[in-house]
Amino acid sequence: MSDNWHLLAQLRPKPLRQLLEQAAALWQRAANGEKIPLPMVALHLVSGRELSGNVIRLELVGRNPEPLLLLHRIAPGERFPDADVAYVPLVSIEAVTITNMTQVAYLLQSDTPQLVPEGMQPTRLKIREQTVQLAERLNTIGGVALQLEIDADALSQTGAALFHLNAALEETTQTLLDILETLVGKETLSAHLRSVRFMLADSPGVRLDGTTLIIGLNLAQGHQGRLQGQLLRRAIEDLF
Amino acid sequence: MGLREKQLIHDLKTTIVPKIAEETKELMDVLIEWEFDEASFGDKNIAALESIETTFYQVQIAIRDICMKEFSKGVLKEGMKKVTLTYSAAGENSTLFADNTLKLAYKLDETYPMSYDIQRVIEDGL
Repeated sequence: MSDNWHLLAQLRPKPLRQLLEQAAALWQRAANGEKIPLPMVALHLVSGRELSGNVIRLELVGRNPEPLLLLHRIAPGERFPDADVAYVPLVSIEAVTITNMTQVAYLLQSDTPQLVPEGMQPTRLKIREQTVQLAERLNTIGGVALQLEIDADALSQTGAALFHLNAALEETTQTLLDILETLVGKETLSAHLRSVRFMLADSPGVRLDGTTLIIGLNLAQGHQGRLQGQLLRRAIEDLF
Repeated sequence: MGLREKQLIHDLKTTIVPKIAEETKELMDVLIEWEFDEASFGDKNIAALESIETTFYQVQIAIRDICMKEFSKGVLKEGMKKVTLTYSAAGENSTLFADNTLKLAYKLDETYPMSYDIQRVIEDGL
Protein backbone atom coordinates (compact mmCIF):
# COMPACT_ATOMS: atom_id res chain seq x y z
CA MET A 1 0.00 0.00 0.00
CA SER A 2 2.76 2.46 0.92
CA ASP A 3 4.13 3.00 -2.61
CA ASN A 4 0.65 3.47 -4.10
CA TRP A 5 -0.34 5.72 -1.25
CA HIS A 6 2.55 8.05 -2.05
CA LEU A 7 1.60 8.07 -5.73
CA LEU A 8 -2.11 8.62 -5.14
CA ALA A 9 -1.39 11.47 -2.76
CA GLN A 10 0.37 13.36 -5.57
CA LEU A 11 -2.37 13.00 -8.20
CA ARG A 12 -4.38 16.08 -9.05
CA PRO A 13 -7.84 16.25 -10.62
CA LYS A 14 -8.05 17.41 -14.20
CA PRO A 15 -10.80 17.85 -16.81
CA LEU A 16 -11.70 14.63 -18.65
CA ARG A 17 -10.96 16.20 -21.99
CA GLN A 18 -7.44 17.18 -20.90
CA LEU A 19 -6.80 13.70 -19.51
CA LEU A 20 -7.97 12.05 -22.73
CA GLU A 21 -5.90 14.46 -24.84
CA GLN A 22 -2.83 13.50 -22.83
CA ALA A 23 -3.62 9.81 -23.32
CA ALA A 24 -3.93 10.39 -27.08
CA ALA A 25 -0.60 12.27 -27.13
CA LEU A 26 1.06 9.28 -25.44
CA TRP A 27 -0.37 6.97 -28.10
CA GLN A 28 1.19 9.17 -30.80
CA ARG A 29 4.55 9.08 -29.00
CA ALA A 30 4.38 5.29 -28.81
CA ALA A 31 3.45 5.19 -32.51
CA ASN A 32 6.63 7.21 -33.21
CA GLY A 33 8.67 4.45 -31.66
CA GLU A 34 9.02 5.66 -28.10
CA LYS A 35 8.94 2.81 -25.59
CA ILE A 36 6.40 4.05 -23.07
CA PRO A 37 3.48 2.36 -21.36
CA LEU A 38 0.04 3.46 -22.53
CA PRO A 39 -2.78 4.31 -20.16
CA MET A 40 -5.46 1.65 -20.14
CA VAL A 41 -8.73 3.53 -19.85
CA ALA A 42 -12.22 2.40 -19.02
CA LEU A 43 -14.75 4.90 -20.35
CA HIS A 44 -17.93 5.01 -18.30
CA LEU A 45 -20.68 6.12 -20.67
CA VAL A 46 -23.83 7.99 -19.67
CA SER A 47 -25.80 5.04 -21.06
CA GLY A 48 -24.35 2.92 -18.26
CA ARG A 49 -22.11 0.92 -20.58
CA GLU A 50 -18.36 0.75 -20.38
CA LEU A 51 -15.63 0.66 -23.05
CA SER A 52 -12.00 -0.23 -22.35
CA GLY A 53 -8.87 0.34 -24.39
CA ASN A 54 -6.16 2.80 -25.38
CA VAL A 55 -7.03 6.31 -26.54
CA ILE A 56 -5.75 6.89 -30.08
CA ARG A 57 -6.99 10.35 -30.91
CA LEU A 58 -9.29 13.11 -29.72
CA GLU A 59 -10.39 15.68 -32.29
CA LEU A 60 -13.12 18.13 -33.14
CA VAL A 61 -15.02 16.81 -36.15
CA GLY A 62 -18.15 17.62 -38.18
CA ARG A 63 -19.86 20.76 -39.38
CA ASN A 64 -20.78 21.72 -35.85
CA PRO A 65 -17.49 20.61 -34.33
CA GLU A 66 -17.95 18.00 -31.70
CA PRO A 67 -15.11 16.30 -29.82
CA LEU A 68 -14.85 12.68 -30.91
CA LEU A 69 -12.64 10.04 -29.39
CA LEU A 70 -11.03 7.08 -31.14
CA LEU A 71 -10.51 4.18 -28.82
CA HIS A 72 -8.51 1.05 -29.61
CA ARG A 73 -10.60 -1.53 -27.81
CA ILE A 74 -9.01 -4.24 -25.78
CA ALA A 75 -11.77 -6.77 -25.19
CA PRO A 76 -11.66 -9.10 -22.24
CA GLY A 77 -12.29 -12.81 -22.58
CA GLU A 78 -11.51 -15.16 -25.42
CA ARG A 79 -11.51 -12.66 -28.24
CA PHE A 80 -8.33 -10.60 -28.74
CA PRO A 81 -9.08 -8.05 -31.45
CA ASP A 82 -6.08 -6.48 -33.18
CA ALA A 83 -7.79 -3.45 -34.54
CA ASP A 84 -11.22 -2.92 -33.06
CA VAL A 85 -11.69 0.83 -32.87
CA ALA A 86 -14.57 2.57 -31.15
CA TYR A 87 -15.71 6.07 -32.20
CA VAL A 88 -16.98 7.75 -29.07
CA PRO A 89 -18.51 11.24 -28.75
CA LEU A 90 -16.94 13.00 -25.78
CA VAL A 91 -20.37 14.07 -24.53
CA SER A 92 -21.27 10.41 -24.00
CA ILE A 93 -18.51 9.95 -21.39
CA GLU A 94 -19.29 10.75 -17.78
CA ALA A 95 -16.17 9.32 -16.12
CA VAL A 96 -12.87 7.67 -16.92
CA THR A 97 -10.94 5.07 -14.96
CA ILE A 98 -7.22 4.60 -15.58
CA THR A 99 -6.64 0.97 -14.71
CA ASN A 100 -2.83 0.99 -14.82
CA MET A 101 -2.15 4.25 -13.03
CA THR A 102 0.99 3.02 -11.24
CA GLN A 103 2.68 2.56 -14.61
CA VAL A 104 1.50 5.76 -16.28
CA ALA A 105 1.04 8.37 -13.56
CA TYR A 106 4.40 9.97 -14.28
CA LEU A 107 3.41 10.32 -17.96
CA LEU A 108 -0.07 11.69 -17.37
CA GLN A 109 1.00 14.15 -14.70
CA SER A 110 3.74 15.74 -16.79
CA ASP A 111 3.48 18.87 -14.67
CA THR A 112 4.68 16.80 -11.72
CA PRO A 113 7.58 14.75 -13.09
CA GLN A 114 8.50 13.61 -9.59
CA LEU A 115 5.71 11.05 -9.91
CA VAL A 116 8.11 8.46 -11.32
CA PRO A 117 7.77 5.59 -8.81
CA GLU A 118 10.87 5.18 -6.67
CA GLY A 119 11.36 1.63 -7.89
CA MET A 120 11.80 3.01 -11.41
CA GLN A 121 14.39 5.59 -10.43
CA PRO A 122 17.87 4.29 -11.18
CA THR A 123 20.77 5.06 -8.87
CA ARG A 124 23.83 6.95 -10.10
CA LEU A 125 25.86 3.77 -10.07
CA LYS A 126 23.28 2.06 -12.28
CA ILE A 127 23.44 4.96 -14.73
CA ARG A 128 27.24 4.82 -14.87
CA GLU A 129 27.03 1.09 -15.51
CA GLN A 130 24.39 1.69 -18.16
CA THR A 131 26.70 4.19 -19.86
CA VAL A 132 29.40 1.56 -20.20
CA GLN A 133 26.96 -1.07 -21.47
CA LEU A 134 25.38 1.24 -24.04
CA ALA A 135 28.80 2.28 -25.36
CA GLU A 136 29.55 -1.43 -25.79
CA ARG A 137 26.28 -1.86 -27.71
CA LEU A 138 27.18 0.98 -30.04
CA ASN A 139 30.51 -0.68 -30.62
CA THR A 140 29.37 -4.28 -31.08
CA ILE A 141 26.03 -3.72 -32.82
CA GLY A 142 26.61 -0.35 -34.48
CA GLY A 143 30.28 -0.94 -35.26
CA VAL A 144 31.36 2.49 -34.03
CA ALA A 145 33.51 3.16 -30.98
CA LEU A 146 31.80 6.09 -29.27
CA GLN A 147 32.45 7.30 -25.77
CA LEU A 148 29.33 8.15 -23.76
CA GLU A 149 29.82 10.80 -21.10
CA ILE A 150 27.49 12.35 -18.56
CA ASP A 151 28.19 15.83 -17.26
CA ALA A 152 28.75 15.94 -13.50
CA ASP A 153 25.84 18.37 -13.06
CA ALA A 154 23.46 15.96 -14.77
CA LEU A 155 24.68 12.97 -12.79
CA SER A 156 24.36 14.83 -9.50
CA GLN A 157 20.58 15.11 -9.97
CA THR A 158 18.31 13.03 -7.77
CA GLY A 159 15.06 11.08 -7.91
CA ALA A 160 12.91 11.27 -11.02
CA ALA A 161 15.55 13.33 -12.87
CA LEU A 162 17.78 10.25 -12.90
CA PHE A 163 14.94 8.26 -14.49
CA HIS A 164 14.74 10.80 -17.31
CA LEU A 165 18.53 10.91 -17.65
CA ASN A 166 18.58 7.13 -18.00
CA ALA A 167 15.76 7.27 -20.54
CA ALA A 168 17.71 9.86 -22.55
CA LEU A 169 20.76 7.57 -22.53
CA GLU A 170 18.73 4.64 -23.83
CA GLU A 171 16.82 6.64 -26.43
CA THR A 172 19.91 8.37 -27.78
CA THR A 173 21.78 5.09 -28.06
CA GLN A 174 18.87 3.47 -29.87
CA THR A 175 18.55 6.47 -32.21
CA LEU A 176 22.27 6.32 -33.02
CA LEU A 177 21.96 2.58 -33.67
CA ASP A 178 19.04 3.26 -36.02
CA ILE A 179 21.11 5.83 -37.92
CA LEU A 180 24.09 3.45 -38.02
CA GLU A 181 21.93 0.87 -39.78
CA THR A 182 22.07 2.97 -42.94
CA LEU A 183 25.23 3.05 -45.05
CA VAL A 184 25.40 6.84 -45.21
CA GLY A 185 24.63 7.11 -41.52
CA LYS A 186 27.40 4.71 -40.59
CA GLU A 187 29.97 6.42 -42.81
CA THR A 188 29.04 9.85 -41.51
CA LEU A 189 29.01 9.02 -37.81
CA SER A 190 32.21 6.97 -38.10
CA ALA A 191 33.99 9.87 -39.76
CA HIS A 192 32.72 12.76 -37.63
CA LEU A 193 31.75 11.48 -34.20
CA ARG A 194 33.95 10.30 -31.32
CA SER A 195 31.80 10.89 -28.26
CA VAL A 196 28.32 11.75 -27.00
CA ARG A 197 27.91 14.01 -23.99
CA PHE A 198 24.72 14.43 -21.93
CA MET A 199 24.37 17.86 -20.32
CA LEU A 200 21.79 19.95 -18.51
CA ALA A 201 20.23 22.68 -20.65
CA ASP A 202 17.44 25.23 -20.36
CA SER A 203 15.63 23.62 -23.26
CA PRO A 204 16.12 20.22 -24.92
CA GLY A 205 18.24 20.04 -28.04
CA VAL A 206 21.31 18.62 -29.75
CA ARG A 207 24.45 20.26 -31.13
CA LEU A 208 27.94 19.38 -32.26
CA ASP A 209 31.07 20.48 -30.46
CA GLY A 210 33.95 19.27 -32.62
CA THR A 211 33.57 15.51 -32.72
CA THR A 212 31.28 15.45 -29.68
CA LEU A 213 27.52 15.23 -29.97
CA ILE A 214 26.00 17.26 -27.14
CA ILE A 215 22.58 16.12 -25.91
CA GLY A 216 20.92 18.94 -23.98
CA LEU A 217 18.43 17.90 -21.33
CA ASN A 218 16.12 19.74 -18.98
CA LEU A 219 15.61 16.94 -16.49
CA ALA A 220 13.29 18.97 -14.28
CA GLN A 221 10.71 19.04 -17.07
CA GLY A 222 10.42 15.26 -17.23
CA HIS A 223 9.47 13.91 -20.65
CA GLN A 224 9.11 17.42 -22.05
CA GLY A 225 12.75 18.08 -21.23
CA ARG A 226 14.35 15.90 -23.89
CA LEU A 227 14.00 15.21 -27.61
CA GLN A 228 12.58 11.80 -28.36
CA GLY A 229 11.69 9.41 -31.18
CA GLN A 230 11.68 10.85 -34.69
CA LEU A 231 12.35 14.37 -33.41
CA LEU A 232 15.63 13.25 -31.87
CA ARG A 233 16.67 11.35 -34.98
CA ARG A 234 15.88 14.26 -37.27
CA ALA A 235 17.74 16.70 -35.01
CA ILE A 236 20.87 14.51 -34.99
CA GLU A 237 20.74 13.88 -38.74
CA ASP A 238 20.38 17.60 -39.42
CA LEU A 239 23.74 18.26 -37.70
CA PHE A 240 25.74 16.43 -40.37
CA MET B 1 24.59 -1.97 31.91
CA GLY B 2 23.75 -5.55 32.82
CA LEU B 3 25.86 -8.65 32.35
CA ARG B 4 23.99 -9.75 29.21
CA GLU B 5 24.61 -6.40 27.57
CA LYS B 6 28.30 -6.45 28.51
CA GLN B 7 28.68 -9.97 27.17
CA LEU B 8 26.94 -9.03 23.93
CA ILE B 9 29.17 -6.00 23.39
CA HIS B 10 32.19 -8.20 24.03
CA ASP B 11 30.90 -10.76 21.50
CA LEU B 12 30.15 -8.05 18.96
CA LYS B 13 33.68 -6.68 19.20
CA THR B 14 35.56 -9.96 19.29
CA THR B 15 33.45 -12.37 17.26
CA ILE B 16 30.33 -11.12 15.50
CA VAL B 17 31.58 -7.99 13.72
CA PRO B 18 34.97 -9.51 12.76
CA LYS B 19 33.06 -12.48 11.32
CA ILE B 20 30.91 -10.20 9.16
CA ALA B 21 34.04 -8.40 7.94
CA GLU B 22 35.73 -11.71 7.15
CA GLU B 23 32.69 -13.07 5.31
CA THR B 24 32.47 -9.90 3.24
CA LYS B 25 36.12 -10.24 2.32
CA GLU B 26 35.86 -13.94 1.51
CA LEU B 27 32.54 -14.00 -0.33
CA MET B 28 32.60 -10.66 -2.08
CA ASP B 29 36.33 -9.90 -2.10
CA VAL B 30 35.55 -6.52 -0.55
CA LEU B 31 37.65 -5.23 2.32
CA ILE B 32 35.63 -2.97 4.59
CA GLU B 33 36.13 -1.61 8.07
CA TRP B 34 33.07 -2.16 10.27
CA GLU B 35 32.61 0.04 13.31
CA PHE B 36 29.87 0.69 15.82
CA ASP B 37 30.03 3.60 18.20
CA GLU B 38 30.07 1.79 21.53
CA ALA B 39 29.72 5.00 23.54
CA SER B 40 26.47 5.91 21.81
CA PHE B 41 25.05 2.52 22.79
CA GLY B 42 26.25 3.12 26.40
CA ASP B 43 23.26 2.14 28.49
CA LYS B 44 20.93 0.88 25.80
CA ASN B 45 18.78 -2.19 26.14
CA ILE B 46 19.58 -5.59 24.72
CA ALA B 47 17.24 -5.09 21.75
CA ALA B 48 19.31 -2.16 20.49
CA LEU B 49 22.54 -4.10 20.85
CA GLU B 50 21.15 -7.16 19.10
CA SER B 51 20.11 -4.99 16.18
CA ILE B 52 23.75 -4.07 15.53
CA GLU B 53 24.36 -7.53 14.07
CA THR B 54 21.09 -7.41 12.12
CA THR B 55 21.96 -4.01 10.69
CA PHE B 56 25.44 -5.05 9.64
CA TYR B 57 23.98 -8.10 7.91
CA GLN B 58 21.56 -5.82 6.04
CA VAL B 59 24.60 -3.83 4.90
CA GLN B 60 26.34 -7.02 3.87
CA ILE B 61 23.30 -8.07 1.79
CA ALA B 62 23.32 -4.65 0.10
CA ILE B 63 27.03 -5.03 -0.69
CA ARG B 64 26.43 -8.55 -2.00
CA ASP B 65 23.68 -7.32 -4.32
CA ILE B 66 25.82 -4.48 -5.62
CA CYS B 67 28.68 -6.91 -6.24
CA MET B 68 26.47 -9.10 -8.47
CA LYS B 69 27.67 -7.01 -11.41
CA GLU B 70 31.34 -6.69 -12.15
CA PHE B 71 31.21 -2.99 -13.02
CA SER B 72 29.43 -2.11 -9.77
CA LYS B 73 31.75 -4.35 -7.78
CA GLY B 74 34.77 -2.55 -9.18
CA VAL B 75 33.34 0.84 -8.27
CA LEU B 76 32.39 -0.35 -4.79
CA LYS B 77 35.82 -1.81 -4.09
CA GLU B 78 37.35 1.53 -5.00
CA GLY B 79 34.83 3.77 -3.30
CA MET B 80 33.60 2.12 -0.12
CA LYS B 81 36.02 1.61 2.73
CA LYS B 82 34.08 1.80 5.96
CA VAL B 83 30.71 1.33 7.68
CA THR B 84 29.89 3.18 10.89
CA LEU B 85 26.84 2.62 13.06
CA THR B 86 25.69 5.01 15.77
CA TYR B 87 22.75 4.81 18.14
CA SER B 88 20.48 7.76 17.40
CA ALA B 89 18.96 8.69 20.73
CA ALA B 90 16.89 11.46 19.13
CA GLY B 91 15.30 8.88 16.89
CA GLU B 92 16.31 10.70 13.71
CA ASN B 93 17.26 7.72 11.62
CA SER B 94 19.60 8.29 8.70
CA THR B 95 21.67 6.43 6.12
CA LEU B 96 24.35 8.54 4.45
CA PHE B 97 27.29 7.88 2.22
CA ALA B 98 30.22 10.28 2.27
CA ASP B 99 34.01 10.17 2.37
CA ASN B 100 34.08 6.51 1.31
CA THR B 101 32.00 5.69 4.38
CA LEU B 102 28.47 4.41 4.86
CA LYS B 103 27.20 6.23 7.94
CA LEU B 104 24.21 4.75 9.72
CA ALA B 105 22.46 6.38 12.68
CA TYR B 106 19.39 4.56 13.97
CA LYS B 107 17.36 4.20 17.10
CA LEU B 108 18.03 0.52 16.91
CA ASP B 109 15.64 -0.68 19.61
CA GLU B 110 12.81 0.63 17.43
CA THR B 111 13.97 0.09 13.88
CA TYR B 112 16.88 -0.77 11.63
CA PRO B 113 17.60 -0.04 7.95
CA MET B 114 16.72 -2.54 5.24
CA SER B 115 19.21 -3.73 2.66
CA TYR B 116 17.29 -2.30 -0.30
CA ASP B 117 17.39 1.23 1.13
CA ILE B 118 21.03 0.86 2.08
CA GLN B 119 21.84 -0.33 -1.43
CA ARG B 120 20.26 2.77 -2.99
CA VAL B 121 22.21 5.09 -0.72
CA ILE B 122 25.50 3.35 -1.49
CA GLU B 123 24.78 3.29 -5.23
CA ASP B 124 23.89 6.98 -5.25
CA GLY B 125 26.93 7.90 -3.19
CA LEU B 126 29.63 5.93 -4.96
